[in-house]
Amino acid sequence: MKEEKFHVQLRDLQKSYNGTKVLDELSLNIRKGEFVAIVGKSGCGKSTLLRLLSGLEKPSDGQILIEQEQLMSINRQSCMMFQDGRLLPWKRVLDNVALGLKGSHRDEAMTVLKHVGLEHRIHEWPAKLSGGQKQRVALARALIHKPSLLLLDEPLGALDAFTRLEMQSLIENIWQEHGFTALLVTHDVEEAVSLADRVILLQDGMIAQDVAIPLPRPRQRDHTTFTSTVNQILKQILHEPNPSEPNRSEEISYQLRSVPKAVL
Amino acid sequence: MRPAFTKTLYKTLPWVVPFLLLIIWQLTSMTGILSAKTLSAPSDVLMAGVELTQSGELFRHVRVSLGRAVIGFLIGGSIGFILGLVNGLFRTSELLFDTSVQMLRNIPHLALIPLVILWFGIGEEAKIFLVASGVLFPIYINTYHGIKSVDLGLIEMGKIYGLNEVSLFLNVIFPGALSSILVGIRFSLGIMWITLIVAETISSTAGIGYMAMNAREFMQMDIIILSILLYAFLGKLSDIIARFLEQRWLKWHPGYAKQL
Repeated sequence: MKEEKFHVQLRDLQKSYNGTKVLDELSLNIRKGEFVAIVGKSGCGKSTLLRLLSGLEKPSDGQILIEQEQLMSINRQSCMMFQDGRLLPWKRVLDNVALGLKGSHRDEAMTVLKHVGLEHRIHEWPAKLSGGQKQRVALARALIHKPSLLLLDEPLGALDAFTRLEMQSLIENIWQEHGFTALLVTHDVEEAVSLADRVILLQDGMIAQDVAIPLPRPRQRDHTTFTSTVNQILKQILHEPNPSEPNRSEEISYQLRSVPKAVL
Repeated sequence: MRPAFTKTLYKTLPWVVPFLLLIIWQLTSMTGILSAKTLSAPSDVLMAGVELTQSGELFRHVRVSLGRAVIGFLIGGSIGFILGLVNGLFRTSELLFDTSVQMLRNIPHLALIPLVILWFGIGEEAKIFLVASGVLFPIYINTYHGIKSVDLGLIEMGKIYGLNEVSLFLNVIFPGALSSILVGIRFSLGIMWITLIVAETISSTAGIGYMAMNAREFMQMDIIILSILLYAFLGKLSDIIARFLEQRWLKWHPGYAKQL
């Protein structure tokens, strides 16, 4: 175990906001070049995990090791893709892609834009692009930094089903070509199973399941192993006993009781 | 042919009402329904304009007024902008200054006139001070608010993509605040002219306001109206400049790009 050098190591990672634990003693090892998907209900801590890995936030306790070195500030090796793209609306596509690079990087920007199939729109304003095109630009902006770790925070969550499939295969191709480590947070279990080597189910800040997906790529969604894996993970998500539920119903009945008072 | 016709129609239609009013005004003046003591005929105003232009008087007054407006705007505007920038960017400065600025903001700057006259007399400083104190606050508030309302997601993204503090400001924060800053500028330009009109009417020896007050003493109705129209024209001109800047600097913005 000790001999293998992991790219990312999380050791007893904890994060709480105002006393509420979001991540609870999470430990996880990710190999170099691995594609890991993290699924879970909203509020399970999956986005927090990415924010910790990018260095935007600091853990309350525990360690993050990137290539055996503890992460202390912004993670220089990683790039992040967000659900809402986060392109600068006042910069044209080409300048958005070259953001953060010193000097002129026109040629490099052109190359990555060609890669994501947007070389014909380099002078466009982001407002003129469709949702899928914006995410392509965001992907190009990440790729130009040649990250060894790509963090994807539900990047396809806001796209329509067709564009999402297109983007999934684009991300898969680029990942295979560049060989970076990828960490995808998603609420779409099918997306997770079709892209990842490993799907991790996060529940209440803890790892509830860690499923290896040994299927050959590109994956066939109608393959029996594929569908059974998806179903198995979905089952786990949907049937988890939720300890907060009784509390919530109490809250609702309290609210109902208090409504007539407010009306009077 | 048809779309060309619609286009001309759309261009001429807004001018129909003002043009008609002008004709009615001229006709009623000529027939004596509208007495020359109440309102001069448009033709008289035009004549007065031509005369004053030829004598160089008009140019002199406009230049004096414009100078006061620009200097006052630059002084007040820069103070407001810098204060808004610093308070928007740094928490300590915000805590230290914002409340005080907000308190000062609630003093109507024209209420300062008696005080300003005592401080500066009736010279140029008084007028420039009034203009500066009038334009300061709209620019302050809009700069401050613009910076405060920059999308935090974009700032976060900038940090992840390796922008240092200076380039974060230049690439993300300032462009994000710019539309709000321009609103402040546009608003201030209006205040600038109003303040100047009041300040020049009180006491001066040159400027458009002086020209109007001087004409009042000699019952020169045409020059009074000419002065009012000059203010209107200069106000419109500064608004056009502000809109031009908006369209130039905010061309990425779908809300501004389609204007014109």
